[in-house]
Amino acid sequence: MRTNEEWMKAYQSGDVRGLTVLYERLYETLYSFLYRYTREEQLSIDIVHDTFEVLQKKKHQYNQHKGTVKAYLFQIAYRLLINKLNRRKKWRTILPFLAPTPTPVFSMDEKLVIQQAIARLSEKHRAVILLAYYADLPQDEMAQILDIPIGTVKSRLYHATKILKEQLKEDFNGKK
Amino acid sequence: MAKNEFIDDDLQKWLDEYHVPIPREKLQIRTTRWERLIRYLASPTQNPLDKFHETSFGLKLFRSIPLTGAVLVGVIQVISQL
Repeated sequence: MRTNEEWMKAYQSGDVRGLTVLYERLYETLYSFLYRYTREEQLSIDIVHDTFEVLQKKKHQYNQHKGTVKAYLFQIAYRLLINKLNRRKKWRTILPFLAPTPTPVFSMDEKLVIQQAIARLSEKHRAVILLAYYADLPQDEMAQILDIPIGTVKSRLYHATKILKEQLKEDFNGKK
Repeated sequence: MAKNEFIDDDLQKWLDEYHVPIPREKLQIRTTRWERLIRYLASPTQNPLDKFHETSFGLKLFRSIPLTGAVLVGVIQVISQL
């Protein structure tokens, strides 16, 4: 079975199947990361689409020696996400009443304590937890995606888990 | 789900509970910029006139507008007679 990097190389050489395979393999993980970060379905879908569009445009900028395709894709998605959220914040400051209010998706999962605990984390702490645990990315790739030193990744991860544990402490005791 | 040096078993149990439903059908549909703009414009926003619907604020306005109007009319009448 060919790796993501091999498919990317094939895509760079003109084999369009490469993009299809990469999309099929990675879109779910990417969507899950974006959804857990924003809790907005439509925004997450849009960013998944935009990310693969950017990947098509910048396929030749990918260098296998600098990191995996997954990390490259997450890096694109994270930058798009941050830009979009910053733009939205700016609009809300300028025209507070004209900025659309996101439609919350109500589900049984909404009641999950962990979901609320992750949502309460600051953006930088949320990102490291989601990338480390759910996206299964090593710390060096997380550093590449977030554009921060690896030491900062470790410290953010340490603090994020500490905050999460504190938030869930009561429920931990309740469960035991 | 990745095991991590900072994530112990208890926290792992909690994290494992967080599942995300994947909207596969929606992800297959590529929306154009135009469609996104329409969606943006059609999305619900805050009503800028919300303040006027608040009872206390509305009552204050209800009382103050005729009063201010009456004062203004009075002033205009006084000025015109001079």
